Amino acid sequence: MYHIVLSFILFFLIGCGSDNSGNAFQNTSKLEYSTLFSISKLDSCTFVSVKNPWDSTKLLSQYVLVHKDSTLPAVLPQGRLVRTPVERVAAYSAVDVGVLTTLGLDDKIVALCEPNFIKLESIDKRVALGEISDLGASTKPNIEKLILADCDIIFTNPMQNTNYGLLAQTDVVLAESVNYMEQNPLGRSEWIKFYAVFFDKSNVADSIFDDIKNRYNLLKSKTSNISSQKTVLAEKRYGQTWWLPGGDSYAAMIFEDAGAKYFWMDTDNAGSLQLSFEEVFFKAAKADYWFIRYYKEGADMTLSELKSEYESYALFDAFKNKTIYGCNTASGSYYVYASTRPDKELADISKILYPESFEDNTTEYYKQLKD
Amino acid sequence: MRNKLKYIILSLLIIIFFFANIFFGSANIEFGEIIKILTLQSDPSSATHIIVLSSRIPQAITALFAGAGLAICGLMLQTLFNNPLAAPSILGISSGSGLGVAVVMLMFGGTISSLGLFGYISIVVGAMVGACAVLIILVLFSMKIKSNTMLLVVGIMVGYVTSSLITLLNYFAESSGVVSYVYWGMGDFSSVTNQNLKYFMGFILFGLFCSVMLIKPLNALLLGERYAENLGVNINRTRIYVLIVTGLLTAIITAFCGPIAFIGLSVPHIARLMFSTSNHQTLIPTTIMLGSVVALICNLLTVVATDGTVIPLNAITPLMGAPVIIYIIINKKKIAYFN
Repeated sequence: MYHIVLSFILFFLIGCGSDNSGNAFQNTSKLEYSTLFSISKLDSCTFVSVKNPWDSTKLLSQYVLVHKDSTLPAVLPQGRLVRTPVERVAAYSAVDVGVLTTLGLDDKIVALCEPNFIKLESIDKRVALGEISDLGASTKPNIEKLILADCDIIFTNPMQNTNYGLLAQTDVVLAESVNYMEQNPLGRSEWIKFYAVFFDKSNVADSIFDDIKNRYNLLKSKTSNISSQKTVLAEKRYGQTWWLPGGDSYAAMIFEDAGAKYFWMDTDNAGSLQLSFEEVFFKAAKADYWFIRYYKEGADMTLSELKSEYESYALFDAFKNKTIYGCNTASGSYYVYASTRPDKELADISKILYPESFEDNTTEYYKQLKD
Repeated sequence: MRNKLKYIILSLLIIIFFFANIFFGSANIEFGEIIKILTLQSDPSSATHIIVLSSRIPQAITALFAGAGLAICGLMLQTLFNNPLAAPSILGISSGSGLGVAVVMLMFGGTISSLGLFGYISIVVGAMVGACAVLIILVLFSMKIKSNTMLLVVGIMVGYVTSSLITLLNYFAESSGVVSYVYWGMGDFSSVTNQNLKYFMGFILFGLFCSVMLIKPLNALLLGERYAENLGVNINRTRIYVLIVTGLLTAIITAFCGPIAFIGLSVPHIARLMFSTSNHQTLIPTTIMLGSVVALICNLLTVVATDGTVIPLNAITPLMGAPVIIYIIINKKKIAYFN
């Protein structure tokens, strides 16, 4: 106990800085929407902590960031030491690549899990040239390749009780990003600040996020006073189950912010609802619009293909009125930017639902399903 | 007389559970409304009307026929292999079908259903080829291996090999194909649409008719191969007929509804316990009826046990089938219809 108290006092009195000014926690970076991480600036180091989304009493990880040119303080707070800026990065998912690309740091990526799912020309080229190493499946990255890639840091997207196995025993810093657990679309987007801090690019991230936030809120304000709300249905069946966004989920919030009436908004669920066809049809047979995300190589899905997948889809009003809009995740960069740029998805949905409120009605991800 | 009563009870159970499948579902529709729909007094464009006529009735009919088909497959295979644990799912036949479907489904990247009837025919052919390949392997082994237990072990091993090939295919496939295949593997009576129902029913009825035509040789097989030959039964031809019929039924049902476990294994035993006989003249109609009842109950449980969602069919069927098998194993000496 004595040691803990002493360490605590020393940490505050000595601080992280080499100048030993004693001004610990000079500035705490203000987060507006994200709830699962925090950044505290100290004299010459930055303390980053990530909350455990599955157990609010625990932290998932803590990082102490010290600039490469600074001398390491005698006493450091608890957390994984990272010397910044990091130079060589490995990423688990398209989302990580999207954030790094938005920050203009995609050239720092040297290893990547499942690069075939990342639809970005710059990444494809570098993978083809061998500049980016393919680590294989994100559930089990190739450790040998990762070690050979000589990374400083790997951005991971852990799930509950993720066991990193051998990966945890390497020298590579595991930066655990749980942005996908944020319910608020802007909350997810704000995780750009988490990534940026490892590259000493916090100012760039703040500026980019402010732009995204302003654009998002502007779009939201355009449809906030719509008198007759359009009703919407989402996704489609897999097997017997129709997976729909729960009322507290990211997707449901996008619908709400686009001025739509989503039938399952009142459900208290931040994940997915698993419903039967009957249950969905009972509620949403008369929905004005239907938004589907699907994966299909080659040409986009057509209405007749949708019908042949499950005949009863044709019974929905949205099918009869041809107001079904699909986002083919195989052809675009939807999953790369969906998390960082929620304003893009909001723009698409708002423009489809209320074209009269916008001058330019071109959409980026969602396209109307043709016959 | 007692058997007649049992047939009446089974018929009543089929009617009760068939209508229970129509009256109970994940959406809450009032009884009066359903009666109006069934008597065609409701608005045909209403959501409830469409749910009952386009979702619940085809699903109940699918369960009725698929249950009968799977159960009869189990019965014929148990007689053919003279083994109480023979069934499409245990002998690797369902896995063989699964491999055939995996090849077709993953080849098209999970978009097989978007290919319409051609897609379904491809799946059925894939399932049929897979099922028959496993059956041929089993028959070849049955000529060499005389022990039924060992033959069963061979079947299980063949199942493992097909499963490993499926795992390999999944590993190298597109994620959407894997997702489609995984969901297909959970079993589902709702995937046969009104449009395809007539083909599905036609194939199953043909398979059931063939099984009725095989009553005599199946009974002869119970006496042992030598006795059967003395009675003028061509053993090899019977074996081939049984394998073709079970292969066809398993392939059709597996292709449309996924690999459904335990119905084929457990229902023939329930039939034998109910009627205390091994005579196929009694067992075949009883197994067909019982198979339908069990499948209808399983389908009902997938929706009534939850609020709005649907439990995978293969999460229910083992709960119905496994206790029966354990009972058979424990009381093997008392029951003794297989020696």
